[in-house]
Amino acid sequence: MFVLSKISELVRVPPDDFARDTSLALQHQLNKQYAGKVIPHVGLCVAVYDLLDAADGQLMPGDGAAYVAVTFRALVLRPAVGEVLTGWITHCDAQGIRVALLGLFDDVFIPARMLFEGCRFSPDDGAWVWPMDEDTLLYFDVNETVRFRVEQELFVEVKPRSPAEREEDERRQQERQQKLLEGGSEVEKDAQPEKETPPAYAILGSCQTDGMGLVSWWE
Amino acid sequence: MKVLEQRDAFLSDYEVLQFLSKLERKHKWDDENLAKQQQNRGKRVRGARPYFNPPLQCAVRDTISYLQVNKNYVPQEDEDEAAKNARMSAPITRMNDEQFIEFYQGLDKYELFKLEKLQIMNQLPRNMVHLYAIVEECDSRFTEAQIQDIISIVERYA
Repeated sequence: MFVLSKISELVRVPPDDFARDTSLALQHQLNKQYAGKVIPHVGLCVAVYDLLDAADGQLMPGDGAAYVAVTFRALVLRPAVGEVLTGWITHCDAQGIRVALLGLFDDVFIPARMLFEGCRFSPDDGAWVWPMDEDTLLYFDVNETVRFRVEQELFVEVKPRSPAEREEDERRQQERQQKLLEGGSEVEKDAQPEKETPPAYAILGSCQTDGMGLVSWWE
Repeated sequence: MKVLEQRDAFLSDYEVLQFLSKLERKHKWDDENLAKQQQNRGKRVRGARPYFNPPLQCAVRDTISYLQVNKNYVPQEDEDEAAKNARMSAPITRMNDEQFIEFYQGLDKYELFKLEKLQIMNQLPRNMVHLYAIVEECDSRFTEAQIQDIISIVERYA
C-alpha cells in the first residue's frame, strides 16, 4: 500500500536556512512542499523518506537563495489496483458509497454498479442493502468498517482557483456572515450548494466477491 | 519535479509505522513530548523546541492513527473496556523487528507473489474468506493444509 517513489527536484533554500545543516534544510523545504499532498500519477505523499543525492547549490541572478538539484525518495500512499483495503463508510447515496481511510485519505468511492449483485439503495435507512439470501438483509451503514478491492485510480489535474472564483468565494462567505449576524437560523436552507471540485486523486473500489463488504459479515 | 521511478520500493505497514514513529519522536511530536509542552506552556524552557512544520505533522499523525487501528476488529457485546482497547489496536503496534523478520521468513516457504505477501503482512487475515480474497486462485494453488498453515503463522504473530 505504501511505496517509495524516487523523485528529482530543484529545491530553493532561502538564505535564513543556510545556518542549518544542508540535508536538514533540504528535507525541510521538501517536506513543506510535498507532505500531505497528491503528486499527479504517483499518489498521496506522506513524508520525505530519505535524500539520495544533492548537487552543489546554484545561484540565480537577483535571488539570494541557493538552488539545489536533489534526488529523494518520498513515502507515498499508492494502493495497487487489485489490492484489498479496509476503510470506513462516510456517506451513502443512490450513486454509491463513499469510504475514507480514517483521515488519511477520504476519496474512495464504490459506485452502485460495483456492489454485490442485487444490492439496492434504501432511502429510508440512508444505506445500501444487500439481500444475501431470501430472508437475510445486510446493511452498509455509515461508520462501519468495510473491505473493498481497488479497481481504478483517478488522477485529475486540479487547477488553482482563479481570481474571479476566489472573489466569488469571499463574497459568498461575507453574505453568510451577514445572515448569521441578522440572526437567521435558516441560513442552511437557502444556502446554495457549493461547487464541489473533484479530488486530485480518487480511488474507485468494488465489493463483488466473497470477503468484501463489512468486516463483521465475514468474521 | 521529475518522477524518476514511481515504485522504487514497497513498504509494509509495519515499516511505515516504525519510520513515522521515529520521525515523530525526533521532531518531538509524540504524546510524551506534547504533554510536556502543555505543562511548560508560557514558561521559558531551555532546550530544543519541536520542529515546526504543520503539514508534515498533520500527515504523519493521520497516517499513524490509521495504521494503529485494528481493521479486523468487530465489536463484541460482552466486552469490558480494557479488552476492547487491546483488541482495537493493530497487532503491528505490538510487533518488534525480530518477530517481523521471523514472520516474513515464515511466509517465504509458500509461493506467494510479492504483493500478496505484502497484503498478508499488512492485513493479517485470520480466516479463510479473507485470505481467499487476498490470494488469487487460492484453492488451486495451495492445499487445504497449506492454507491452514498460513493462517496459523499469521495467528502466531497477530
